[in-house]
Amino acid sequence: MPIVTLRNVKKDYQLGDVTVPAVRGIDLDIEAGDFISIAGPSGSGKTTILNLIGCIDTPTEGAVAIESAETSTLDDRALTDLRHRHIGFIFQSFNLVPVLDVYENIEFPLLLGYERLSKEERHARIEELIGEVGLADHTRHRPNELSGGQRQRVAIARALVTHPKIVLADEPTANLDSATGQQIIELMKRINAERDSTFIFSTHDPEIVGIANHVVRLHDGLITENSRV
Amino acid sequence: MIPTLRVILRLALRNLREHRSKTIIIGTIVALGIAVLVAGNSLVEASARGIRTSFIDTYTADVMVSGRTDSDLSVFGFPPQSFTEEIPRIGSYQTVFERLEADSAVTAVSPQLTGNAVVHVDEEQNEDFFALLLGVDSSSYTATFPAAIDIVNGAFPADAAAPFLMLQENQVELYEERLGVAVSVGSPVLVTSFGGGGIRRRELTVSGVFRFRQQTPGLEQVALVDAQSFRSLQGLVVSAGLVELSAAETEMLGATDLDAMFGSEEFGAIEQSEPQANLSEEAVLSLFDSVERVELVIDRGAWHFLLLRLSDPSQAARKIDELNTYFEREGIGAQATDWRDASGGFSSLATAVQLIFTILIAIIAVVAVIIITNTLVISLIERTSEIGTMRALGARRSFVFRMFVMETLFISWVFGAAGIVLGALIVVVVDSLGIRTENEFLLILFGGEQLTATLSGFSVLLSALIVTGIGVLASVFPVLLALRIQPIRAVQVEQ
Ligand SMILES: Nc1ncnc2c1ncn2[C@@H]1O[C@H](COP(=O)(O)OP(=O)(O)OP(=O)(O)O)[C@@H](O)[C@H]1O
Ligand SMILES: [Mg+2]
Repeated sequence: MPIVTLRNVKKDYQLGDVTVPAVRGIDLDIEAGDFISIAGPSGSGKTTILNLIGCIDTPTEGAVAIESAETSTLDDRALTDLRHRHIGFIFQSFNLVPVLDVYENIEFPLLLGYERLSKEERHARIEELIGEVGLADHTRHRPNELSGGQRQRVAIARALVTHPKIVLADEPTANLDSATGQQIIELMKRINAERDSTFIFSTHDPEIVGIANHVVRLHDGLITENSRV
Repeated sequence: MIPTLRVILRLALRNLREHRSKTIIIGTIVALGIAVLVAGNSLVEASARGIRTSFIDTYTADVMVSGRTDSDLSVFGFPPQSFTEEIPRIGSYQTVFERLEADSAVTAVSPQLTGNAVVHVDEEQNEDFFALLLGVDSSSYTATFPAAIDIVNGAFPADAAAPFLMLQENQVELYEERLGVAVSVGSPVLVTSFGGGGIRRRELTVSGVFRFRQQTPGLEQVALVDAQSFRSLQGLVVSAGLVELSAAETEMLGATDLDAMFGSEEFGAIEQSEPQANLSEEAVLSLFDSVERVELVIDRGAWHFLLLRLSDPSQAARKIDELNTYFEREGIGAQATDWRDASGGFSSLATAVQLIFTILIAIIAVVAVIIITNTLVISLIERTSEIGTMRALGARRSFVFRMFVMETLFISWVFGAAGIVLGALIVVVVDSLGIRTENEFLLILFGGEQLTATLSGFSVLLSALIVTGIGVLASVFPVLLALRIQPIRAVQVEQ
């Protein structure tokens, strides 16, 4: 059973009097454990699709289901809970909380009042992730004391700390040089294999697209290719 | 729950430190605001108390009983706009007086008459001075207002029935300055009164010069006179009870102008009053035979006011209610009021000071709310993406709300406490400086010659409440904005 289902999803943006169709009718199934790349030229609708899957945006038409749960009927509170439980976010601009250090940024999602974890359990989880993303020496650094690659590693650890089924990453390498970008994608791929979480990421980079086991190509808000490796 | 609160507190504290300029702007407003409030409240409170005690101790006592009237009546008479109105006498005076004397809660009673007069000091010179005459009984006056006056020269006559006239020192100085005539104990002065529908003139001998301990601007011309001289001057004659006079007769009496009949301003031509004259029926009957005989029907029970000191002044309101109920029930033409009404326009000065202060607070509050709101909104715009990210990661609206409230609370508490300390410091400094004034307006404002301020728990509490109100009011709009930030704002950068 697919972990994410999109059925006839359309999304229009309203720019003044003009309606901009960003996504024009998409059907897509994503299986658990996929490492899926959403590819396509600028303006093709990649970000829009990821926002819809991440439940931070709602479709104009059609249905988005996460773990078979139809999202259109959910209110803000329920969507917030769903995001916390099922989805990890990795942002293009990292979006770390500037006043929190590496450890605290990774810990943050665990302090929102959902999990009942002891301090020790939290500590173990965070230390494990810090080791996994290779930041053991930077635990107490603030984001502005880190390089772009290091920041994105923090973001990856933060996205994983709640053990989400789905990790979304919209152009996670866009703000990094290509070598660092490659390392980040490889890290994601390794975690995908180890933890069996589903990774959905968008990219322009053809080399990075090659690492995916499922490629979806978009053009003008429609799917032009949907292939599994 | 505790880890959540801890991270909220951590975020709030670090954000306050991170956005230092915002914190300092808001913090300074809060601290200065509360300091102004604490200090201002203390000053206003002290000033109000000063005005209150100086009036109660000097002029009004705790409760004023007067004749019945619907107009504003104070111990100084009717306000200027109702100048011509005659001050009502207390009905059934003897009954009322006995009732009050028997009242264990009443420690002293002083009857009083109030009226306007003109003092002519030197026959050679054609200059008159206004005087506000208070007709009193010297021993009850001294008992009721023991701290009101210092007698500089002379004394009240030992014989309680003897006539007297006590002038204020500043007036005596004024006479000397203007006329070059030294008025002292024993000097005769000519007092003209225009109460009771006629003009009467009497020569009175100055028996003393005094000074009010608490000087009140506007009351420099108060002079103390014995009740019989006062009644004689004002033509307070028996009108009911002892004799029945027809309306026409009363009018005639009122209109009688002895001096006009004598037609001379010469001292010698003035008919000397005999206030101790016995009131007899025969005298009344011969009333219209001779104008001199008018003096014979002076109503010795005519009093305008009874001023009461209570054993417990805080019970004044209750006593007033009790007395009014009693007057009502017994059908007595009298009424009781508090020191505020009794002091007339003067107590409203205290109210005016408070009003000005309140308006000042309102202006400060509005400005503070605008500045704080503005600062919060700017900082919120800067943090839109951060808050959107938190929402995307699963932070509920309540989390965002608590994060902001924590920041505001923290600023309010820390800087509010600093402001209270600062305000208290101002109060202590002002008090120890012992700022004194002779300025008339400031005298009223200070509630005395010295500017005093007393730090009360009430004013601190009130100030804290007002500042909290300002904080809450200023946060409402920014917090509403913050709660409306959608998780999508994590990835949408405002263009
Ligand atoms: N908030 C918005 N308001 C109006 N139009 C929007 C908005 N977001 C996206 N669009 C439009 O929708 C279309 C799809 O945008 P989207 O951001 O999904 O493309 P993308 O594939 O992510 O592009 P890029 O590679 O440049 O990030 C574009 O034409 C874009 O201009
Ligand atoms: Mg995009």
